[in-house]
Amino acid sequence: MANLIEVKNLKKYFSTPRGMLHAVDNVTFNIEKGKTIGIVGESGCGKSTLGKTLMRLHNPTSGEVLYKGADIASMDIKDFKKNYRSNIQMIFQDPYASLDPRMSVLQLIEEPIKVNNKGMAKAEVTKKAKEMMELVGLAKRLEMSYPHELDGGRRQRIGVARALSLNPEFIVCDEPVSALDVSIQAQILNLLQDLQRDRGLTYMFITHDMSVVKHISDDIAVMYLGQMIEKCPAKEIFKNTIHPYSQALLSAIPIPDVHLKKERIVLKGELTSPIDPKPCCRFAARCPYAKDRCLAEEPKLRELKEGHSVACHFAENFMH
Amino acid sequence: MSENILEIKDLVVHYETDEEVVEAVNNINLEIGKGQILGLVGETGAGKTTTALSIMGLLPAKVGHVIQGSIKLEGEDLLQKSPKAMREVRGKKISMIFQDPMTALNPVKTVGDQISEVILLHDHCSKAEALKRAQDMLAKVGIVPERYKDYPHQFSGGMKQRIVIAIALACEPELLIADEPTTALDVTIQAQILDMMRKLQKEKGTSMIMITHDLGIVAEMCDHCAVMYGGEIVEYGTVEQIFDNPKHPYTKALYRSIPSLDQDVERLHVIPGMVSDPSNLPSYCTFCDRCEEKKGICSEKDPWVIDVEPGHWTKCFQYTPEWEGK
Ligand SMILES: Nc1ncnc2c1ncn2[C@@H]1O[C@H](COP(=O)(O)OP(=O)(O)O)[C@@H](O)[C@H]1O
Ligand SMILES: Nc1ncnc2c1ncn2[C@@H]1O[C@H](COP(=O)(O)OP(=O)(O)O)[C@@H](O)[C@H]1O
Ligand code: SF4
Ligand SMILES: [Mg+2]
Ligand SMILES: [Mg+2]
Repeated sequence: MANLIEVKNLKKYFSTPRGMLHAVDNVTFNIEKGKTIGIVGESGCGKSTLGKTLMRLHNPTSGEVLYKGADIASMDIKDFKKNYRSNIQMIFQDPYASLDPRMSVLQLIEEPIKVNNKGMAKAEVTKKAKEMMELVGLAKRLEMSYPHELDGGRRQRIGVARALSLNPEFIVCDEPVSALDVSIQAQILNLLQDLQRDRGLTYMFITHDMSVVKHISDDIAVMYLGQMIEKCPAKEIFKNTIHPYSQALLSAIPIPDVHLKKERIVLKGELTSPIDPKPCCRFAARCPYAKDRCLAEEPKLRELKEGHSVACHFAENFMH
Repeated sequence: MSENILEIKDLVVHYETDEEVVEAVNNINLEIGKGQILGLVGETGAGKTTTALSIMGLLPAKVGHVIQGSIKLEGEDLLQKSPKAMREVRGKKISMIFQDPMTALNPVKTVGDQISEVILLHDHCSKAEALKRAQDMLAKVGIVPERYKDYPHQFSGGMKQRIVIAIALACEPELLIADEPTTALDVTIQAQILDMMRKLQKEKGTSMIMITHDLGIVAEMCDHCAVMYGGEIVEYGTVEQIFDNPKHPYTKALYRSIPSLDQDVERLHVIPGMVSDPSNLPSYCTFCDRCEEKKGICSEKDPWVIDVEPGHWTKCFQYTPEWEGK
């Protein structure tokens, strides 16, 4: 299948009082049409910034984002808004924060349809919004409800309906289930999967929850301080975790099994931010295996075996 | 059988506001053995925090009411104690760690002062001695002791939670209640904190209530587990019993709704319907409206607690003689 999205050497830096913050630093990957790439990593590693840069909510510092071959990262913003905006949508963690509390459910879903189809008849807009409600499983009786009257799962359904109402092909899902209880989380994950199957949607699914990402993704990319440090098919990462950070991340997850006694790699130190990073491995300070070379040279993301890339000087030592 | 540090009997707690009565905790019974860790699990609104606040004597004034029941700490009913006596209990016998560290930290006091205050309340030692012990405490939770002069905002989220734990443990409590202590933290930081809590708990033999919605944390940390739904404990047992042999339909459904790391499932199991509304609870089984195993009797009356094996009980008709034929 063809790639819908091709990201090449993408960088997004923020200038801060303490120096240049490399929020997304030289990231390269593709997403095939109809597939899901899961982006995992801990807070501050650049997941949301990556998502927003693909959405053109940030202008990249450099690099390319090809959408069906067109570079949406560098094109004129007017051109982007006119021709691409509705194709690429985003679903956020806290739908509540992005929903106007004074608008009813129906109005909230009508809004993006109205904005993006100037001149569409009112009745047509309402009809489309009602279709969207049905599609995401919001009962008709909720049309006149307000966001504060709904539970988290239903609010997230509004977020999904708003994103879908523009018939996008690509959706960036930024922690869409992180704030939900597990039974509600399952409903939203199933909904997203159904929509993908029925409409051929392509997803970038951002989360810090490894079990969720494994469930929903075809490929997984692990980020650490702005960089992609491991990328492979979703099933592979749990069978053959190579990068020492990915290993620690996976071993840190508490498993709901009382008989499993697993070795936990407890990392030292805290997460920092990539401000004016030195040319070294960004994980070196916390890595249990770091050697001199790790502090002197930045490891590049390189393919170790088909479809499995790792950014670590000693990656070969960690292969099984 | 070991002695119990805490025994909760028939506890009922309501929140009464102008508009409604929220039946947050409905007749729960629980005990925690000395030196044991009890996991209290359940989704948002199940009544976990309310249970914890009742033990601490910290229910919101005017709104939160204990309607009936007793909470005995080493045989003494905390509900009969005066506010002053409860302050003593909180300083010396029970501490609580909240999910959001900022609720427990004073932004305008150094962390060293905040820890030594707790020590002074507990022990009538000198100020210098207390400060020294505060620094030891910081080291124990993995923060360089020299940072005792720093203020809370100078620490990261994970470090703030460590400081809260240092404060909670400084009075050497017999019972520690941790209310989702790591929910807001990243997994590698969570692993550090849980590791540290486990070590300190072992060292001092502290009894603990670990409130969480993460079954993984329960499996790794706890000896016993109580599953809450709609203000009730619907199942209780050792972690082995609850994980290997879950009996209540809610417990079973919870397991199936979490994606698993070691098994592949195409679709996640969905528990139909919404979490129960404690301002509008049914007179029959609280879980009935979402239950996939229900029979007629379930919507007629409320099930009672029944033993399914020694030390393992659940609140569901399936295990009662009434189930046959209904
Ligand atoms: N608008 C901004 N200005 C300055 N720094 C930012 C901005 N947005 C994000 N950052 C910083 O960029 C880094 C990555 O943030 P983010 O993409 O939000 O991470 P994640 O979503 O993985 O938690 C963090 O260090 C964050 O503080
Ligand atoms: N101060 C309050 N006033 C009214 N209702 C409250 C108050 N605090 C909690 N509740 C309600 O009591 C129920 C139980 O809440 P809580 O004990 O916080 O549950 P949990 O900790 O399991 O999420 C919920 O329905 C909640 O909305
Ligand atoms: S009593 Fe009935 S409705 Fe309630 S949990 Fe058991 S089977 Fe389900
Ligand atoms: Mg983010
Ligand atoms: Mg709570």
